[in-house]
Amino acid sequence: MPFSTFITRGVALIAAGCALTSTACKERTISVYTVPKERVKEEKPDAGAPQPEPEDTEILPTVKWTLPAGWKDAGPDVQGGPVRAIGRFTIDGGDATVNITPLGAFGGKEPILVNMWRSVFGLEPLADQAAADALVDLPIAGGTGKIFDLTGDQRGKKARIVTAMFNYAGQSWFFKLQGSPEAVEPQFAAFKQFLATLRFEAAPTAPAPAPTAPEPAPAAPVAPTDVPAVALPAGWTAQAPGPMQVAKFSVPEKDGAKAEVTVSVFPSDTGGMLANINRWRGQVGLPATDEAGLATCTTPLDAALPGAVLADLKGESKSMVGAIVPRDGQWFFYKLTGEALAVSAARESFVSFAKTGK
Amino acid sequence: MNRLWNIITSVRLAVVLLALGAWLVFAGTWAQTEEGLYLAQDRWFKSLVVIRHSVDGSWGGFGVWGWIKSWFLPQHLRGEGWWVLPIFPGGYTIGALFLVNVICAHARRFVRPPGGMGGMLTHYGLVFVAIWFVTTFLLWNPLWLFLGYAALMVADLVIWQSASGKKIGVDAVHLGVITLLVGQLGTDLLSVETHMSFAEGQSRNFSEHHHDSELAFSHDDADGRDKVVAIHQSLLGAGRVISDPNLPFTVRLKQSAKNASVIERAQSITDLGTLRGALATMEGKYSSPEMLAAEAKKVFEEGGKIQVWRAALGAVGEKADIDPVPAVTRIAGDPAKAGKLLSELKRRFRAEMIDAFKNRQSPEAAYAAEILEKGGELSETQPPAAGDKGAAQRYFLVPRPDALTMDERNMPGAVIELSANGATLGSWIVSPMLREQKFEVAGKEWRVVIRAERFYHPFHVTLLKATHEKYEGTEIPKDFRSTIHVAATNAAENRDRVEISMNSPFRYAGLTFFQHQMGREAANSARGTSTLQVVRNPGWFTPYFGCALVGYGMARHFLMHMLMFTRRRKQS
Repeated sequence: MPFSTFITRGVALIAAGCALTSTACKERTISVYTVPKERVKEEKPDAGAPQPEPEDTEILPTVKWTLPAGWKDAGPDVQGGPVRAIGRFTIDGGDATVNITPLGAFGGKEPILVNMWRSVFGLEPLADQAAADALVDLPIAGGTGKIFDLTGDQRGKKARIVTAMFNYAGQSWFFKLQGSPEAVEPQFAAFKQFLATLRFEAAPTAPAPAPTAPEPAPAAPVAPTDVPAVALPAGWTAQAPGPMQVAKFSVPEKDGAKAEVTVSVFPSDTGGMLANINRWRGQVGLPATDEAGLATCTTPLDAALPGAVLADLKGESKSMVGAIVPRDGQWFFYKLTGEALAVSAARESFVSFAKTGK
Repeated sequence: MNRLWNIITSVRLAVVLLALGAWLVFAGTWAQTEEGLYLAQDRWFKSLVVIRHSVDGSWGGFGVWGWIKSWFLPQHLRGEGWWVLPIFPGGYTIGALFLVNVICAHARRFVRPPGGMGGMLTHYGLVFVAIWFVTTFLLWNPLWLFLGYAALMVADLVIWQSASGKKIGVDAVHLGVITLLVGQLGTDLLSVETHMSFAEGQSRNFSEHHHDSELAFSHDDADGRDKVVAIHQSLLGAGRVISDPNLPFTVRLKQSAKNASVIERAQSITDLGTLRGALATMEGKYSSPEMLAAEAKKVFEEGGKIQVWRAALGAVGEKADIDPVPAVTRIAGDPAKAGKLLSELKRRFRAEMIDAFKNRQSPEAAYAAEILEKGGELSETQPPAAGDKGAAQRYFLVPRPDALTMDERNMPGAVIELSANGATLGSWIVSPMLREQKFEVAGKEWRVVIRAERFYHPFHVTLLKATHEKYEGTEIPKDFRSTIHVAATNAAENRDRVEISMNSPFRYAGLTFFQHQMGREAANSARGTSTLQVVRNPGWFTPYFGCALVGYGMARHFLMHMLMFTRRRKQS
């Protein structure tokens, strides 16, 4: 073999060999470094940017919900216009959709709305009394709303629309389940449960919630009768209670984890056990449950307190121990909420507190 | 030797390798359905050999039958760890052999040009450097890029009159292919994809790896800093002992899992009790036919688990369109059929309740449901405590299968035993699900945590604004945009109000920032959040340059032959 050929082949093979062996040399090891102590630096967001024009000068209360299984949050309607849905949901397995729209004050004018929807389906309007009879009372967000159900032809297709209405804070809130009749039917029960578990929270600067007639007001907190003023469990510190609360305490931190106890008192069970437990489940990021599921997450609080239950709810980032205690014609709602470590540590004293009210 | 040389340089080998490469791409893409994108990439493309396991877990995957079974059976029927035996060359092997083939074939077929080596090398050097310059400076302007290549081509073809560039077209194509192969290898070996997540108003000076984790020990250092010793997850195999001069202790991995749940013992025992109690209540409820009619009425008229009842009625032979309440009343009068319906209801409600527990966002509830389903044991002592310090006193680890889908992430878990001066300091459980745990060695407080692998940068990025719009009525993004401020150590390198959107990345300090995800803060939905993908890829230019060379070479070769043909025709 000539020398030049040998060299050519040698160089080519060595280059190729390097390429081949370099494929097997990827390894990470131990790295050592110093960094500034970790902190999340908070700055005023976008201080130099022009502030966006307020999209809506109306200050609406916040409505919160717990989604039934198979429902997906499609987000609010952001396109503007006079009628905007603040919540929209799609439902797996069919074309049924749900939306939530606050729209003016229609308290007392519900029969007009029934006829308005009937006209959409090309149906004859009903007399006022008949239209009023088409409306059925229904628990919504701890109060009572109305619901009506229509099936008809819309743009040549069979469609069903279930509309629920609820008056809150001077507004009428509309909750609409619509789609083909086959898709709507299996969701009807879930829709009713969804309505029962809705909860309104007043906007910070909004006027105090003033429900309009004829719906009864959502239960308002009543003056505490036996909320502890003394003899708190060790380490508990009283805090300023929030809206709808009669008392609030911080409990001792555990390894940096924090938790707090809140107490609310209502003259009724505010929608029932399931609605309340589902509301709580939503607060810790758990999906809503049903009657069968309720049994799996609640236990009786104390044999001496008939009807009182304790719920242990553990979400991904938040835990809650809640107690519902009917006592002297009132319903006491105790909640221990926070990070799992602190909640576990304070659970025993919380349970004792909920049992005795002190 | 000559025979080997002939094989290495043969066109036949190139064709075989191309065919193997095509099959690898097909099979590796198919494998993603079960292995997920990242695992399949590692196993098929970023490997020397693709290794596969037989169906039943035994060592026998070479056979055709083993191959067929492993190919067609779903993964859960194959048992764990089915990748054991090599059966196919991996991406690195095929790529590297192809590289060998291209380089050697070129060396073999090289013919000294008529104009001499000096002239050829000068011509080649000028053209390739010019292609590099044109590509570098005009890459983002397609029209000028095209005009640049065209001008270069004209100049090149004029120089070709000297005969020094007769084969430059073919050589450029080969050099382009080599550039692509080497560039991809470089990208695989050197590029790092990380992400930086923050809410509006927050700053970050580090980004985190998408998938890799690290075991990080840290302690207070001077000037308000932390000293960190970070051990990459590839070193965290069970049984390994790790020591480092910066650690005053050794670390022994007593247990290690690429993906594991952290279970709080007390909570899972409570959950198991709750589930058992709920099942007992349910079974008591469906123990006698007397309640059937009333319960059916309640469920079908007031709402409840209608689908469970319908399925149970179907299982006892009732038609789907039957009116359920009268049908159940009728069945309740028939003891044999009522017994069957009760048993179907119990079975279905049991499965439903166990599933509900598994789907709760609580690993404890899911573990309790698994224990109940599989008949395992769960108590204060079972499974035994893996460690004795920190979280190990309350939690234990349960290994889980690898996360395969794009939106899942492995949560590595380990039990580590620390020892100093021959004495054990105790054992800790570590997982990204747990907070940093503190311990003391020789009077100094240390912290330990497993977290996503971090890459610190010499600058802070602040998210000023996150714009997140979707097309009406859809989840399709319309405008995802982050406005950021970059604060560097040297103020001259600061960047203010940089906008990063879906197709408009930001390049800074050798990194490319892409818009990745947008969202809202859980605690405050008015505050937008953004995740930027931060990529360091030193080889990012090689695909552009490689493609430019191949494209230029092909066009040059074609034009040259066309000109030669036209000339011959004129002459004749």
